[in-house]
Amino acid sequence: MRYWGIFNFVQLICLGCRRHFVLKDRTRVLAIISIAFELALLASFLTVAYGSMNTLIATLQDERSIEMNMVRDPITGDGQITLSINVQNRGFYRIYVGLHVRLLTSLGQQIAEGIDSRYVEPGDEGRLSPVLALSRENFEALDLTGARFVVQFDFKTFFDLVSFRTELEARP
Amino acid sequence: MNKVKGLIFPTLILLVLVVVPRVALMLAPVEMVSMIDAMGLVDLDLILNALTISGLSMAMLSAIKNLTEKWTTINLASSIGSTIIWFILSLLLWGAGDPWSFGEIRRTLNVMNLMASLILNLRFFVILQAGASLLGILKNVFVYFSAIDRMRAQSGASGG
Repeated sequence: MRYWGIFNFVQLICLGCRRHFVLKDRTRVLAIISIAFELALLASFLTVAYGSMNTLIATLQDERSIEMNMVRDPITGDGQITLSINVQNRGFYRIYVGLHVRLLTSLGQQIAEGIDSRYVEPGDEGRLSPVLALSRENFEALDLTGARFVVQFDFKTFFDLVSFRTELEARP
Repeated sequence: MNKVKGLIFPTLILLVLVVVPRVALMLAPVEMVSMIDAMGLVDLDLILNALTISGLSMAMLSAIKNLTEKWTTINLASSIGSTIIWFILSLLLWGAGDPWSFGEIRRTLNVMNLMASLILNLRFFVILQAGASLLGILKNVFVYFSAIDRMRAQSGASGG
């Protein structure tokens, strides 16, 4: 009977400790996960921001970063305008870059459009070259001083979870 | 209850959220500040005011939290309040001044004859921040119940 009482007492203490430690452990685990979330947030933001800025600077500093080329077929008279952007990925994650170029008349009517996109691995470079094909009539009627270029640039990084899109429109 | 923490943490919060941003803005080149204002990319005044208000309230809540026992409801309320204010502040920062954009910043600029529209999608960070805040609240609730258990165990031991 005496041993039974001791056993009960020990069991009671153990149960109390167990409950206490379970709560305490849960709190500790939650605290660790919460800190891990905050650290993941900070690390992902810093790497994305640093990588994107590095990519932007490296791309703009490249001598042949943006080129525009206009050719015309001497036989058919059709023309092609090629806008090229050389993107250098200097970040930590694979990036997606897309370029959508539209050529509009001064009245806003679309004459031609070109689309190009690709994924660029870290440390690699990729060239975007959307081609705007123009028929002979359009090419001859094209007045570049009055024409409007609408350039849409898409940029995605960090497993396509963070994105940036800009649309530039030069008006005459 | 920790009186030292109750003084140090609110002071640090006030320094980081109220004093440092204002000093940084004063030290920043005037041309840069006026250019940001003119472009309308970010409403600096709004962000500064939001930082000040949230800094003051978070410092107050931190003082309450550290000067009360962990098992009190006011301690739990101040912890949760602090986490919520931090989340709203981060929403404001991820949205560049607009907390209800939930991390999707949209701006249109007109410079000379060039029109530029920008869309910056930072929703992933907002979702991560929301997750961290929820976990923080859950942790505070667990700390509260854990403290209640400990307090009851202590009073039971001293009473029995």
